[in-house]
Amino acid sequence: MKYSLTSEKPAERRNFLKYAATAIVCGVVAGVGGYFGGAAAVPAGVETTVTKTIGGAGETVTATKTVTGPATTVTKTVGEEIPAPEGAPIKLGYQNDLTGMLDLFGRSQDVGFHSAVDYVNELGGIDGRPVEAITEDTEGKADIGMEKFRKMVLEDGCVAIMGSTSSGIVTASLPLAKEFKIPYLSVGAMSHRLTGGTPGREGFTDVGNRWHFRLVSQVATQVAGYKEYGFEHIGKKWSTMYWDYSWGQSHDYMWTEAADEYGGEIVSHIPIPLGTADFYPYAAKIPPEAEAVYPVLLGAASIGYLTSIHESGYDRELGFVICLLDGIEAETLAEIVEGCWTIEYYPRELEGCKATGMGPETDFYRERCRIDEHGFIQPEGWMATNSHTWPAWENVFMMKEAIENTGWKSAADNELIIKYLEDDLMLKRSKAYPLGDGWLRKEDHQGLFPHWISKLDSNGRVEVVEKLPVSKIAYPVPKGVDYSTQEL
Amino acid sequence: MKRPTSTRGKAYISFIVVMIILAVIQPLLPPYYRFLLTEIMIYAIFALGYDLLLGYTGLLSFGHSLLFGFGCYGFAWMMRFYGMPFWPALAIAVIVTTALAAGVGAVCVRTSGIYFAIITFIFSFVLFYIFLSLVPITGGDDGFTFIPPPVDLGFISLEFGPVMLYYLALFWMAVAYIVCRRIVSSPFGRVMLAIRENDMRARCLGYNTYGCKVVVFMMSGLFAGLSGGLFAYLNHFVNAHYFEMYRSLFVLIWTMFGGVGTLVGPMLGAGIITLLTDYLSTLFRMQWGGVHLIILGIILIVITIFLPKGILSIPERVRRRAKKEA
Amino acid sequence: MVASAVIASGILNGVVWGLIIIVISLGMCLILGLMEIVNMAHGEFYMAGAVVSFYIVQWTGNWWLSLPIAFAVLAVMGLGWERGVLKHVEGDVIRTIIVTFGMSLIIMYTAHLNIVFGATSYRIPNPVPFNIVLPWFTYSGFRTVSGIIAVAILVALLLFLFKTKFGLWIRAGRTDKEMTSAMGIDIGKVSVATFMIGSAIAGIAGALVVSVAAVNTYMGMEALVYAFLVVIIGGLGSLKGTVIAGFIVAMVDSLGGILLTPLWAKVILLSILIAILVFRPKGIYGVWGE
Repeated sequence: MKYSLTSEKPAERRNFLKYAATAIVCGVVAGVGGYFGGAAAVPAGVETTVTKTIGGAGETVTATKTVTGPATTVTKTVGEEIPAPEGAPIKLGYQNDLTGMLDLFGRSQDVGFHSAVDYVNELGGIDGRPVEAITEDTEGKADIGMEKFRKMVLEDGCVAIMGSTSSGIVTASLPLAKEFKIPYLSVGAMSHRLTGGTPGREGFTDVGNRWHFRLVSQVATQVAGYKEYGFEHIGKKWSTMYWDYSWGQSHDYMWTEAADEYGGEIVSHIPIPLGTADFYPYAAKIPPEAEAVYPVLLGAASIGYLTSIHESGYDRELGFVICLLDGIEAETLAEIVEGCWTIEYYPRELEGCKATGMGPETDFYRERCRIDEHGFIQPEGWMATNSHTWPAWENVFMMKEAIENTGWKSAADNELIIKYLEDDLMLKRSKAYPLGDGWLRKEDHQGLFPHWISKLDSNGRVEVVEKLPVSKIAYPVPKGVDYSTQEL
Repeated sequence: MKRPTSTRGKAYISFIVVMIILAVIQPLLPPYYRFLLTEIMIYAIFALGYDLLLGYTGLLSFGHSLLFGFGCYGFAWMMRFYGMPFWPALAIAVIVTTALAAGVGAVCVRTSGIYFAIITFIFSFVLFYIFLSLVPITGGDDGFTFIPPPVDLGFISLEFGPVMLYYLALFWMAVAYIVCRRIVSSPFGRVMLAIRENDMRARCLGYNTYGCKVVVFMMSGLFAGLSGGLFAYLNHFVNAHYFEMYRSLFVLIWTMFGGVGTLVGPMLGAGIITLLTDYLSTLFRMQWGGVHLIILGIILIVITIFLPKGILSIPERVRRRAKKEA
Repeated sequence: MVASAVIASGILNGVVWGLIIIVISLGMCLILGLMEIVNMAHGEFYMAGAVVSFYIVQWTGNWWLSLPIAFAVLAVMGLGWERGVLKHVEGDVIRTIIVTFGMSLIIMYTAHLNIVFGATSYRIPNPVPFNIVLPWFTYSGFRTVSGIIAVAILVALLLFLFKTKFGLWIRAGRTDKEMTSAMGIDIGKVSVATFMIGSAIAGIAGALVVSVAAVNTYMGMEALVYAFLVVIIGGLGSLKGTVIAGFIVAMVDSLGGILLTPLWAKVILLSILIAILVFRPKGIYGVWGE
């Protein structure tokens, strides 16, 4: 089943009359502005246009959503003059990986997080209250991540926690989110097990729960978007080489599934133990019949990996998701990765954003997060993990929206936030959500946003080739997974 | 020089007083600090075992993270694969770790001093990497969670919860301390000290220093296993990083900081350093990952050079300084 | 089955890596033999050398220049640590190890700070852009050059130790410190110089690998473990033992990684270590063998 933001022809044809009727209703509603709340989305449903006010004064956006039944709305007008925030601060915690294997991602996301909080405070805070950003370092270790989670919730009084990029740390912290009734918003952890997994499949079972939401792309959406390129344009016989933990295994599993779909074949699976520094022995294991290699690594290891592959004389194709190179400037690797196809979750190059229709919101976002036109954070001068930083920004606004549009007053009301977020939340392109039209799905709490297919040029720059709409990357909800029916 | 019995008496009284204080303040503690203190008490058990080895026998081990990890996994595996209740699982964790310590010790204590330190370092580092890679067994980086069972005391069954965990840790810390105290006060404790002072001479006097060292290593392993099991229970989660070397580093810092060879010192060190690390991480929140480790490195160097007997030696030094002045 | 070309390059890799490990381990061995100091921060000196080299390449674009500079910088760093910190714990083996461990933490995490080197790892462009073309496979030119330079360093070191007066003093000090001092040689100064040399060659070893291994702040720990393995297997304090053990360790690691898996290579290395400990605790050549 495919869900789509843009109207699907069959739906339009079938529901033309219903659409006309509801359009009148929505016309009245849209004029006032507010948020929508409604029943679950069902494919053959009613298209309703609702307006929400997010972001700064006077910024209204329109979101389109397929719902059954009429949408209820709450009016919230924002005046021209913004009063300074006052009152008890709302604390948002960030379980960040500032040291350890994922530190590349952590420091970038931290910038996004703090920039978002600064902007929200400029807008008058959340519900008139100032927002405080609290970051704690997980050191890349699950037990420390858990400890910091506890600290931020119990000691600092954070009402929501943004999660680590490590799928392992998130897995360990999910029970805590449930125990303390804290919304746990993922920023970069991408194992598909965190939102549904593969039910019935040993080793890939679901570990998510109702308190966890993931805006960012994950393995399932990435493979859904990339597989056509992989198997039609790059090659049919692949060798997967992956970090041997939750995230890497997810990729290996899904890429193998995708191969079956396109008549391709995974000729060898090469798991690489975490902590490996010398990749040459693994490069040596690539069988000669493999036309292409699917590397699933990230951070500091990527450079060593690519260098080793190159040195071992491997000269066939490479197809990878951007996680391999995110946060890494590829100029010194240009000779190795030139011409490779990849999939991004937010274009590194501003040019790519503009070319695919992203407007002034993305300029604003990049300016506030100090990301220059080539994806570097200035003035420090290091490459941001662009594909993984935008959720840190958007999560903050999602919390703002949820808090202001429910009766939330304190952490005791966190259930209201959960109910709001899982109501098939639509995130329309705006300064708050620069990525563009997206949707937070109800059953598995997974966000669906556009992706971008890009290519590495001879200077190591990542050039956008095509934008994949949500319909292209939306994979079906894993069978039997529906967090919204879980007890809170 | 005070007579040993009165010092021992004083030590026991102070011990009881401290235990009572810890037991009583629990309801007053904010929830995060209660959790932190529970963790500290578990670490204290680990540090006690370590002090037996370093402080009393003079063997510097960099490989204790291995034993701790085994304690954690011993407990966790029993949970996951056999669904055991609390006490048998804890017992198995301790037994397994002690057995492992016996094996590792038998090989390693043939050397001493520098060798021993290096070898334990190598073991710890390489085995960590191996366990990280054995994903089907250890869960690798992701590890696995399990449902923590209640603690069944026969007449009452205590559900898993922060208050229960606190008193459980307190109980075991008290037991561990008493046991360690008995060990070092016993004749065997004398042999340990003899080995520390001069291994060769002890051997010439007829003691089987090799055997004794293995036994001490095993005891150290026992406490490491106990603390590991409790730690796994506390977090209801384990992953391969529980074997990682930084735990060996921390137990060393606690011991040196608190006062090596005093039993109380390492426990105190565990408390102070953990609280200090927590405080520092609050202070240096943004973009300064790793600063607290730089500071700990500095503390380690400063303590080792200027206060080699740890902070517990400060009162004695002050007294000595005062006497000199007099 | 792994292709013969791959095995051949695996052997060569083992040789080159072996040479580099030997350089690092010899540095440790010298310091250990003369001063009885186990320098836990030795790996970090190696890492620091790589970082320095990286920056020199960034600023001047010249990798060859970075070698002597890394040497000099690390020599100074070694001097600083020795006089500033190690001097105070002289004689006490346990305390020295602990202090050097503290040093390693400080160095590693200082390098980790964003203002110094930061979290990411970098690769420098290959300073030796050609490859050695042999009959049936191609080998990286850079690795070959690194290997040759490593050999040169070893030869220079051996010449220094065996043909110069200062080298004689070092060797004498290793054999019998007190006697050498009694003969009127300032053993203190010799010790300091040895520490400087040991650290400096670790630094230059780091500079040699910058294009092969990506430079990152965690590379020191791994190098330290290898250095320790070599020093134990070869025999603490034995120069010959270090050289031979260096090759053994590197070959097992390299070939084991290719023919089996790196995991098994490590298991084998550990087994060798255990075997040595059980049957020949003094290492292959025992202590003080030359």
